[in-house]
Amino acid sequence: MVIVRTKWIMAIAITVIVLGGFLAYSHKLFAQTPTLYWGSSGSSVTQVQNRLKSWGYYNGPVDGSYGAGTFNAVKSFQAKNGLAADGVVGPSTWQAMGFNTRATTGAAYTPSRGVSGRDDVMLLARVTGGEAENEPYEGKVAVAAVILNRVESDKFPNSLAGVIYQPHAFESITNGVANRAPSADTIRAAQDAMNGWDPTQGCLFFWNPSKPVSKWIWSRAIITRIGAHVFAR
Amino acid sequence: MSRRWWIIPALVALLAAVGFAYWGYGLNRDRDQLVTLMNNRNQKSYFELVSSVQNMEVMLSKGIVSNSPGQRMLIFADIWQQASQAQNDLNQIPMSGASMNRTTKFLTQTGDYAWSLARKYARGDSVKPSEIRELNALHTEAGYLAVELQRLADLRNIGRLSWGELRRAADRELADQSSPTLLGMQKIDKNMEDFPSLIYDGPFSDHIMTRIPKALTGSLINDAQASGIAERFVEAGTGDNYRVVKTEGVNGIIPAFRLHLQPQGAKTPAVIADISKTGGHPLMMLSTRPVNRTSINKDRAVSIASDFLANRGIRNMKPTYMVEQNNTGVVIFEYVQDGVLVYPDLMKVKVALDNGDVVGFEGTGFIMNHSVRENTKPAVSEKEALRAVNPQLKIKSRRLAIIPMENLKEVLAYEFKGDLNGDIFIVYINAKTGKEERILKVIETRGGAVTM
Repeated sequence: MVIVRTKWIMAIAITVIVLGGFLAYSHKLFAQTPTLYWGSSGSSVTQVQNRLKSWGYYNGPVDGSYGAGTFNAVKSFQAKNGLAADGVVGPSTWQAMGFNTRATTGAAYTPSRGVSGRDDVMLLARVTGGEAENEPYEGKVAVAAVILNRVESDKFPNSLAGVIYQPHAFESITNGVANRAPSADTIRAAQDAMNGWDPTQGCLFFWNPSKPVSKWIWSRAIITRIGAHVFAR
Repeated sequence: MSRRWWIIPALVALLAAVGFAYWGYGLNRDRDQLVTLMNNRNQKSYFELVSSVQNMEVMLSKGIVSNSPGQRMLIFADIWQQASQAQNDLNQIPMSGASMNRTTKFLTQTGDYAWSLARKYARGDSVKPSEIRELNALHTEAGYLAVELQRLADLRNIGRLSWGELRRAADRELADQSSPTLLGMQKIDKNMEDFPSLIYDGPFSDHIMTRIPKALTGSLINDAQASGIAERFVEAGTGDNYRVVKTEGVNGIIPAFRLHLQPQGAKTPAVIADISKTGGHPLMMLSTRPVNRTSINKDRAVSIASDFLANRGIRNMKPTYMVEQNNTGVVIFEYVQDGVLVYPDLMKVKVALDNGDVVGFEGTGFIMNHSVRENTKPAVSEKEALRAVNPQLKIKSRRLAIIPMENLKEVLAYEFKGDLNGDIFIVYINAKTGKEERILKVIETRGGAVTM
């Protein structure tokens, strides 16, 4: 009798694991500030409940479950803040609650006064890190400078994003390695390149000579070598 | 029960197999959908590219025929837009960047040239015979490209164009290049090399890509001399001792020695300096040490940077602004001649804001562009120049400056800095013609002022 029960338990356990497996596969990932409505659940709901509770709109349990109490709290918050009081937490409601916004002072927002240009550096830093994370500092500056030189060149796209995301241009973009957060050194190097430091004097190509590359690239004039990379015009 | 003990494990195994099969099928289906989606996107880009190039070809011929300046301006502005769109589409097609260089260059230059012509005709200038020649050449080139791209599309139109953008195919492409469509495009690009290059008044003209430095004076030096120069350059005014531990070469537009310098007491080099082989001019210096906090204010940083240049015998450079980022301040200097600020002759000094060390120097721009300017006297008086400025701009400062235009020609201009509705603008009025040459907007960012 005991043996049979053990086998049943094992059978159920394996079934659960397998079912869990393909349920997990079909589960979609949510964004950090997803649209929430009655019936939603999860950590985003908890964040909303916490925020509304601290402001006195919500009195119920902070349980990550979007029910009637949360719905009414969201509606009163929206009404008080000049938003459409529909009980649905969309992008404007998230913003109004203070998530994902740049800090604004009391003054009205006017265009082009909030331009910081920081996003360009981070984009450049990410791909520089993906290509040259283990290179010496001047090697990172050189890689970043090559990318900027391509933007200036007539042979490549005319925007930073265009150059970086050009298909097959950078290995680390194609395989996703560039999406990792870059180190502080890499960000500094990218900033230096943006400020005009170019150890390559205008090169448009770089590659690691010990890795397989197309034969064509070896026909370019080599300007210098830094770390593991060779730079050419 | 004990005789058919295998039923339960068998059922479990069956369930597991079904589960995995479902999962695998789902993955496969998703992958097929993604491949189809990407193929569709590439299709769209390709056909839009063909359409844009065909439009360019037609408009170029119209531009040659047209006899009214107004019409011409519109036609060339349209060509510029079509070229822009074509470039965009070309860049979305998955080819390795280098294999479509020549085609990209054609599109960029044609668009840029068309834009410079549109500007000219807007001012009322007349058409020159050299321009007609260039336009004819571009028209032929555009015609070739349009016909070839269309032919490739027709060939593959039975079914779908195959793109091979999947990783495996991309790897194979490097080796044996199997996608026929991509092969076809590469062949077109190679044939475009046979067309002549384009030289004109724009930032992408061929003559700009092959500039020669103007201030590279002096005779050739050897690496021992370069080491001496580098050590003195890095040490002057600091009281530290540096030693060159490695020398390399840079074979660029300005051939140079690259020296790695190590401070006394350190185990690894901390500074790189590029010294030109001709004349021993310092081109660039960069310290690799991280700077982790700020304790010096902006004014002190600017005076440190000015002292840095003075200690090296570099005179007549005026600091114009400073950008503060990541605990360092980059101070920008321009050359001053007869009271006129010469923007192209530019040097940058980077100051570490934790202890005031100078951790960077950039002088390549200066060596490329510096010369004694002949004409620093304005033909138009300041009062007349002011008449061309928007009267609502409240002027805060004014001076004469030499500014570079996109085609690298230089223009003597009055620089008026003022504000309008809380925004700061810098307006340049040509000191010869009295016309408005350029407007820059100053945007205050956290790091300092940025002009756009």
